[in-house]
Amino acid sequence: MTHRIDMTGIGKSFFATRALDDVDFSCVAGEVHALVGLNGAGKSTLMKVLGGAIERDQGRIEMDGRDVAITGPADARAIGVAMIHQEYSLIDELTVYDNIFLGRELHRKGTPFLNKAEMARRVRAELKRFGLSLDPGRLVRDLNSGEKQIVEIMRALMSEAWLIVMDEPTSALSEGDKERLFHFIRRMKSEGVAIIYISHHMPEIFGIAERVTVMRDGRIVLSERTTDTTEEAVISSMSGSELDDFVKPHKAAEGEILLSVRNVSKTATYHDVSFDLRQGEILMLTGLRGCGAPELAKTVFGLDDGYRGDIAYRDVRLKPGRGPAAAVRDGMGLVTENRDTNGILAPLSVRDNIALPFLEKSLSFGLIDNTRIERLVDRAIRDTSAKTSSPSQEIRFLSGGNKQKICFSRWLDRDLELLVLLEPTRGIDVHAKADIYRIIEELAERGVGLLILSYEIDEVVMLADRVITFYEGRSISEYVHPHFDKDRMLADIAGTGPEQAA
Amino acid sequence: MTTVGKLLRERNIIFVTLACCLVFYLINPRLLSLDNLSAISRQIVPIGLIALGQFFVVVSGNIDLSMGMASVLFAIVLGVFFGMTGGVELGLLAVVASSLALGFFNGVMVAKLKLPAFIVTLSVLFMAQGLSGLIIPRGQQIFLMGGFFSYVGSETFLGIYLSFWFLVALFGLAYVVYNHTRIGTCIIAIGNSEENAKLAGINIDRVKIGIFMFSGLCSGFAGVMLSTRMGFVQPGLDGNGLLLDGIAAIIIGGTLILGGRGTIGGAFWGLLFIGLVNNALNLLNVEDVWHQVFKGLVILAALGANWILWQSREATAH
Repeated sequence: MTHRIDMTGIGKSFFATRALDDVDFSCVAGEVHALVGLNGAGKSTLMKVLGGAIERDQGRIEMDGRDVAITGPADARAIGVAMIHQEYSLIDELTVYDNIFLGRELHRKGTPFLNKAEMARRVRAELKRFGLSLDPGRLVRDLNSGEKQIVEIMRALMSEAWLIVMDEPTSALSEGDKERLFHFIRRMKSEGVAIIYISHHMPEIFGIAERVTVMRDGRIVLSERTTDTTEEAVISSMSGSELDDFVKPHKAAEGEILLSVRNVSKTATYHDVSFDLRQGEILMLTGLRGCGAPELAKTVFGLDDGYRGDIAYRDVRLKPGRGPAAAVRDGMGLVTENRDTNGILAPLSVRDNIALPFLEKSLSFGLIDNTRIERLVDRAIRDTSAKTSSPSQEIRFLSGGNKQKICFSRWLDRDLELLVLLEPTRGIDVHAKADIYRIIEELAERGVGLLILSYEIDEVVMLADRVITFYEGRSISEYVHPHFDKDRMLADIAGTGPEQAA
Repeated sequence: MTTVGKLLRERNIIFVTLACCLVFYLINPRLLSLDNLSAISRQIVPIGLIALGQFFVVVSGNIDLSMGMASVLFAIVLGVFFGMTGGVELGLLAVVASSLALGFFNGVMVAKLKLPAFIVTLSVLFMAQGLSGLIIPRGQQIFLMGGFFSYVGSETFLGIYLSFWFLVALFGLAYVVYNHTRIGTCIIAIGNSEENAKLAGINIDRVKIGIFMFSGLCSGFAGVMLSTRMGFVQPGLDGNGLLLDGIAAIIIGGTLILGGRGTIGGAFWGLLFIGLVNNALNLLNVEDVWHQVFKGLVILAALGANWILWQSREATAH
């Protein structure tokens, strides 16, 4: 029989934030239903409600017309709903087959002993059916992200689920793996599986989905068959056009030289790189992953001592291995690319996260001056337009964009002279991006030098005063605003630029 | 990576232990005499029981600090029942029951009340210590003589002490449970990520309570073995020393202190290593006050050398 799930009137709040507001959502076996929206739109929350990871405040969930109670992950699984999470839900120290059979292991008949051979055999057979080869006995920690994704999908496939929720499943996959995934999906569809496909890649959605639903601010704003709508309609319902409002003002950076990097090399990372950075200038480094530019940027901040060559800051040569504490004292700041692991202290409040680098400067008689901290925190939240219900809220409850703003706000005090940014807009939505760009521009106007690593060429072209392209650890060429040539830049970072022909 | 390199990396504790054997042998050949090895096998039994119980707790991402002082308390419980009845049956029953109860208490506090294991078991450590002193006032002791105690304490089978056979059997059982039943899989899963284990439908609370009941039971066994080896019980026995030796053994054996990774075989080698070092320091007439300092240095040297080797191999591998 053909199963279906109907969610009606779903509501959920976190503190003062209304994450889901009267949401209706349905999914039918044999169909792919794409769920679209910017970060923070509520799609992940909705799926967590369906998967039993969080409990809804209002609404009902029906399967085949009958009410079902989903109060935990086990309930969701019991009715055949399987989740493939954006964060891997695998256990690193267990094997592939252990992971696939986790929670429903196979035993030797009549004994408590695991039948490892049978589990491995079944996994191997199932992989083979989908044209994949992966040793089921390998530990998950030794797999690459594409292989981990395969294990996640296989686990769902082998759990006799009829509804599979995939949260941006292609984000970590190579082109080959993506093709394989779509092949999977078509196959599952033909076998009567329902798939909820969370993504914002329009070609993927219109390629495999029967239905598309768009969420914005916790509400459904569009729900159509893909044959009855267009990519343009979906995109415009996701957001306004905030990015178009942002036009880079033209200016020539004529400040003093702040940072001077000369012939800096690090084995197998970057080679013989030289550049200057002036006050008030936005210098962007770009390339492909593995180009060495992020490591170079971290070296400037003092996170690395294993380099050769000279780095001078305000005409003083920096000692290798001086460490980030010295960098902060010298007026440098860093916002890392791994916001959640290196950027924030998740269990602490928004206030403490902002105050952390200011503590030393906010002492009076050796004690922390709380009034000064409060002032600082209020201003930081206002300046970055970060959305938080209160400064004392724990930062881990904020969306990616808001966490990033908090990471920025730490460096907005006036002693800052050089800010190093690594992928400043990674994984955040369009609204937050525009705010981040505004902050960067304001800092530059104030005379702060910005050294930014970005892999997004459009961002680079839009934001930079000057661009240096990197390929395999070498700086290829330099471009000065407004003489940006996007095609040449792309050729540089792909290793096919004119300078690299020799 | 070559097979030898792989073996070195994954079974490094075997080499460290063998290297220590060689060094000790060069210092004093008597260390490796059959008599002495036999003595070591008996000395390590209580540490081994604590290491084994602790192993599962640590792999699950927790810690049980109560094990050492609890084993002293259980030794005293056995002694008191022995003094009252002249036999051990009732005492053993009381030890098993009370050790399971203590483990259950730890487990419920950690699993159901979500209290950190460190805090719960630290509190229980103090309570066990206090109760020991309450049952037998400090300075007094109960002597344990006769059938059971001398039998378990000094009888041998195939030239090896019965108590060591018991330990080996328990390690063997643990190996099977850890590697060949779903209990082992669940414990590793919980130690890696409680959240993911929960999502996979594992009953985390039940597993945790079970783990702590097992570590409690191991404390009970350790108490019994302690009493048979010493021939007397008193509240001043160094339970925390046992605890730390047990933790050291499993960490040396490659168990990740943060949880999620470890092998029973590694834990056993770590235990042999600790036993060897303890024994050597005694036999070499290292003054008591220096004993611990040397032990610390040996552990640091052995693991430090190992770590540096491992890192340099990692560096060349990349």
